[in-house]
Amino acid sequence: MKERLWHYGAAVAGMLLSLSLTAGSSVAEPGVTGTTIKIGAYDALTGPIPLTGKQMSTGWLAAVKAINDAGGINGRKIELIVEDDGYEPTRAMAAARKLVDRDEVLLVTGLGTPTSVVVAKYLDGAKVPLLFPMGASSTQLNQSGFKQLFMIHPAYMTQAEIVLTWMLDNAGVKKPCIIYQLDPAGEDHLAGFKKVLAARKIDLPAAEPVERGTTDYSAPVLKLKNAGCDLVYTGLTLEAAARIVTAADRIGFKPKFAGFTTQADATLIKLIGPLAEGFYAADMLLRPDSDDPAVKAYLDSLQKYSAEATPTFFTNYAYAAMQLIAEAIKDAGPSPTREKVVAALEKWNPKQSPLMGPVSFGADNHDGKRSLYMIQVKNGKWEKVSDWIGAK
Amino acid sequence: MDQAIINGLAEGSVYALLALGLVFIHRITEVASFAHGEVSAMAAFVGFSIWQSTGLPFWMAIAGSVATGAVLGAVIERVAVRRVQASGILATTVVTLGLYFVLHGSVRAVWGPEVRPYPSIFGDATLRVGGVAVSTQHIGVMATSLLIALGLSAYLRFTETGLSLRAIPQNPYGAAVMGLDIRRLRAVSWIVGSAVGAVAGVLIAPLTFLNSNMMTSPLIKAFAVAALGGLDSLLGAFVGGLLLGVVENVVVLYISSYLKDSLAFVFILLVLLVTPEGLFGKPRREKV
Repeated sequence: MKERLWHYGAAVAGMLLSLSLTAGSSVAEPGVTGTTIKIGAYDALTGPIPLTGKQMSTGWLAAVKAINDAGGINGRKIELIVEDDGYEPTRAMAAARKLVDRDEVLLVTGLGTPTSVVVAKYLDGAKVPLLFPMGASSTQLNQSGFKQLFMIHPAYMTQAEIVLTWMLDNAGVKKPCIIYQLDPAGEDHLAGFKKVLAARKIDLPAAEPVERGTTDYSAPVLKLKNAGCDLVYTGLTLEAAARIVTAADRIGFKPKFAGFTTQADATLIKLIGPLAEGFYAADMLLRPDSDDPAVKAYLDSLQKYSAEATPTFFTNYAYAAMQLIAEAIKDAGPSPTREKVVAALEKWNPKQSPLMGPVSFGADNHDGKRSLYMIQVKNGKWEKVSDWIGAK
Repeated sequence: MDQAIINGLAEGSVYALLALGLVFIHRITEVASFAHGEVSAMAAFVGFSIWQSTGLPFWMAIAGSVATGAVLGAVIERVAVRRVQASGILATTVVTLGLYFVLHGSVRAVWGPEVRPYPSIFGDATLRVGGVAVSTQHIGVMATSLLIALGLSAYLRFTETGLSLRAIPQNPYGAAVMGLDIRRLRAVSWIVGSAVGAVAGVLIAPLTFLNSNMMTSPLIKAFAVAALGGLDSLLGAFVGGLLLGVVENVVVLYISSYLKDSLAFVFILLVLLVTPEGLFGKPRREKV
């Protein structure tokens, strides 16, 4: 009898305790205190793309330090919390949940298309902004209609359209082919490619899908050679594109090669040296070797705040994205909330990013940047070969 | 078609090379080491660091890689495998899986996730013969795999240590009773197998670029090739690798490239259904 009373008492006390704990943890303005603003990020620091993950973190952290050293955002310092998801969507979900429920961040950013797709859906439901993740999918991200998601990385479909159109009009290409990764990102490239060809009534001589993580590309490259392609568009990772170029060289296949923003990186030249000569790519950021003062400030920052001072595409993107995130929080006013950040972003028309030009959003457009420019490897270096090209 | 065959022989020789060390270790100790690919990778990385930081000629760095492989093999056997061997093959194999994660994480922690070009000791040239092209690198890999397969087979057959090594899996108690030092011999098999793995690492790295994930995909194929050839047959691994490479590359001319990997495993499944001990394996008979 006494035992039962004790048990009931303990249960009631336990319930009251847990109720008070949960009540206590609901904060009026998540992620914002008088002195700090908490931003969360999911990143692929382990798993199949650790290099990209590391470069993203490097860019984000350098930008955060630079912004904090310059006084922060309206007097508040940024605290960036990065969670590793190993490029796996289920882990990215767990990371996002942790950032929202336990860390109570103001907003989230991150890396990856498959990861961002699941996180975007969750954060839309939780009403937490997801700003400028590095990833792209016209259907599932860029034009998905999620109210909390804002994109500045052009969808792969848009990129493929821009690159292929330019190559057809300016590089004398007659038989364009594509080799792409077998996942939503790769299929987005293929969709853009096909859209342009359909509009121009050109046949697609060959389209080779490959599994991500393939190490030997001799087989698909041989098929492209047999199909007589004079252009190979690489809708996959930078390392994969490098291997495709070497595989083609091995069998004496010499088409024009063109890639998208992921290939617009000095690492490509580092990996395959003279074989990279003539490779075309699309870029969305100012070149690191440009004499624009914003670029110089960025490079100084990178040197000062990070151990790894190489301006790779992902590092540059992450830095520029974090700068824009800070702008968004600043535009949300002296007492930022999640809703105010979203409202501020929808008024950007355009907002000039020092490193990537104009970015525009509206109430029904969260696909902020749809322009790129073309570059080509000449004499061992990337050179600009076109002006900004907008997508149609 | 000819080019596809050549490509297949080239790609297959890479699988074969990685499978050889795996098969050697399994043949003597009956352990299928999931850590084998990472041992190869780590050896390749160490060689790279030696080469970069000392400016020694590259072949000396390769010697460093092989030595690293041997040392890793010895350490793995002594520290991990020896203790768990008594608990059975399954437990030991699971331990090697754990070692895979430990080594993989260590490589990434020490050398970072960067992707680096790796020098090829066989050069970067392409030979063109009668309309087909083959790279000197791939010829080098093929020749090396064949030499290693023949060399290890000869070692097992014609040397005293080799003979002793072969006795262990046949009858460990009998071998011990005969005065063979089982522990030392098992250590030898891990050392030799891992040194061979190091050679594979150094030859595969130029093809995949040096990076912490470089052996993930090749190792799966190496296992498959080892099974295809008969898990204990060195020449079987060599021939099985070439055969698999050719089948993959030729069939893929007629179907979509992304089915290549699935196709490889379907092929292996079919072969094993017909000859369960593999193409060159010896049928196992147990008296009951």
